[in-house]
Amino acid sequence: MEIQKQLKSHGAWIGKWTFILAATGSAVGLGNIWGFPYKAGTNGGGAFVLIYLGCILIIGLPIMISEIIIGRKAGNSPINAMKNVALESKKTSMWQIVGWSGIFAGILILSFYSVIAGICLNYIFISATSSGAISSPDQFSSVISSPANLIMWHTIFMVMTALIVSAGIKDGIGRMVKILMPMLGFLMIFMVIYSMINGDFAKALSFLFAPDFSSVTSDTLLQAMGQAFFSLSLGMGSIMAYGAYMPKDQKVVGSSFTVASLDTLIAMLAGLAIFPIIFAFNLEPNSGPGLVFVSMLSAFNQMQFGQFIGPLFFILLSVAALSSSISLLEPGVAYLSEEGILSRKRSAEIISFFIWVLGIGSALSFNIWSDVDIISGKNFLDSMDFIANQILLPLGGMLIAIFVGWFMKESLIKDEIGNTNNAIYLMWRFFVKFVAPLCVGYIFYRQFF
Amino acid sequence: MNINTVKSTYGYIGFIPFAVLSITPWITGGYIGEIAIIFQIAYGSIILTFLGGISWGWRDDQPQQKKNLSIGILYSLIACLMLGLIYLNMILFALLISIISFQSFYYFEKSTYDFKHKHEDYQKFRRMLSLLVAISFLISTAYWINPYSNPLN
Repeated sequence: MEIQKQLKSHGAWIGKWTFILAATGSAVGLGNIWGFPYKAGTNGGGAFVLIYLGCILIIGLPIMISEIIIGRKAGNSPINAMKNVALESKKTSMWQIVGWSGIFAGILILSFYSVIAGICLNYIFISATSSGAISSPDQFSSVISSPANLIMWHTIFMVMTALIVSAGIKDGIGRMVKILMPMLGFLMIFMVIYSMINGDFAKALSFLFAPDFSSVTSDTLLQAMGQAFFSLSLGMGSIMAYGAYMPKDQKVVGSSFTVASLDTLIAMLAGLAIFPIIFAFNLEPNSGPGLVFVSMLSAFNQMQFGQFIGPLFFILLSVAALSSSISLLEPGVAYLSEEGILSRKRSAEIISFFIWVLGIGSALSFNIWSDVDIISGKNFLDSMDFIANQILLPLGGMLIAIFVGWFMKESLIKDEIGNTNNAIYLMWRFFVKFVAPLCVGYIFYRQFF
Repeated sequence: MNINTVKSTYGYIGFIPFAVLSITPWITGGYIGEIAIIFQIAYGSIILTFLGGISWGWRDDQPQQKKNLSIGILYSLIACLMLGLIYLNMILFALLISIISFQSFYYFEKSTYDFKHKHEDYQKFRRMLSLLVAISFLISTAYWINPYSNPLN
């Protein structure tokens, strides 16, 4: 009983919106902001959006609900949550491996995510002072070719993340998401209004939403499934860890639906903020991650008030990155502190330091280590990305769906899911048992073959 | 169905033309887009006249009702002005006046004694509806001033 009390000592979110804001903050990140609009635009526009929404319903939401159920039932970090719920369901405690895999994936992702988020921070100042004398590709090359510069911004970003997480659930993460998420929403709406007035908005609308079913192929389906799975921060323990702090009277299904809707809405708004500017300056919409640092900077250099709009855009990106990074650090910190190995503050410091050291490898992958081969032709950063995003996350997501669908005791599930409409419950059970594991398994398989 | 639900149902149905007419220009562009915006302003002026008129139906013995009657007439006159601006082809002014008028009518209604004692659902509905109408006019305004979509360019 004493151990149980200690395990559940992290605290809880205050108010039902804190969980929703925190989980949305975790889901909305850099990949979501540039990834979704780009994929939608190049894969049939409205047709892709429809398929994506379908994938959210049959893959993303069922796994998200499963993660929250496990987290809230146990009230612990992902490792102990998986272990305790498995034991309560009279199954082997080996299921805790799923928690370990999530935490490990989160650490690897944060190590390179922090470097990229650091570049966003750097770009706040670059876009404010850029006169356009240096072209945006040269500017980007100069930023990434300097290891000292990348490491400095990576350090600043990691310190910010560690400070928030070490302050705890109520005073750290809870308080910050209540500041960061409205700020993200405000900046996003401002950028959309700006693009609506000054950019080629009609062309962007057509690019993003005009349905072109002739462009839909099996690859489109795979892209939509991948986006639905990866954009909701599933399989990395973040949602499970946040679910642990969710008040018992909050509805799991409704909250998950709100988080998925907000995540999709912000991704669409991001497209409506970015693409009108891209089209107005005749830039290429399919330049991938370079879209943000090269194409957008080029547009800001040319546009009126670019030195004001540019920094706002990169502040928006940094806020999105920060709200995601704290969710990547939280599961590991929660585990060390609830086990009594270290205090919460010390856990945040130690894990952040470890991530910071790993991140140096990613920072160097942009320059002096760019040719260093770690895993079959991949440099350090790409290898971290490969292990985390292509192996651990799909594996974790698939195992979570299999565990809840096939092994978790139904009475425990019903305790958490509450008075949900029976038809919705049965549909969710079907998706989590059969559809989600098969689809995520297919994503996993296609990553390799 | 209680009276507040009926009011909000009719209110949101009344919002549909605003939503459709503000999105249409972005989809069709050109002449149809221009006509859609003119129809939106005209529809808005009808609704604003109606809103100005409802102040005459408010309880006579509520505080400041005499002043409310005059302010109500002012909104009906503004609605006429919006129609006049369409005739003079001053669409942008008409759009901006629409945004300000609908938002300010909500604040006017909110300031009345009786509004504060209305059901919470009705108060929320009025706030949301005014915001949505203002957003719909904002979307049309953006279309009108956007250099890539302005039909006059």
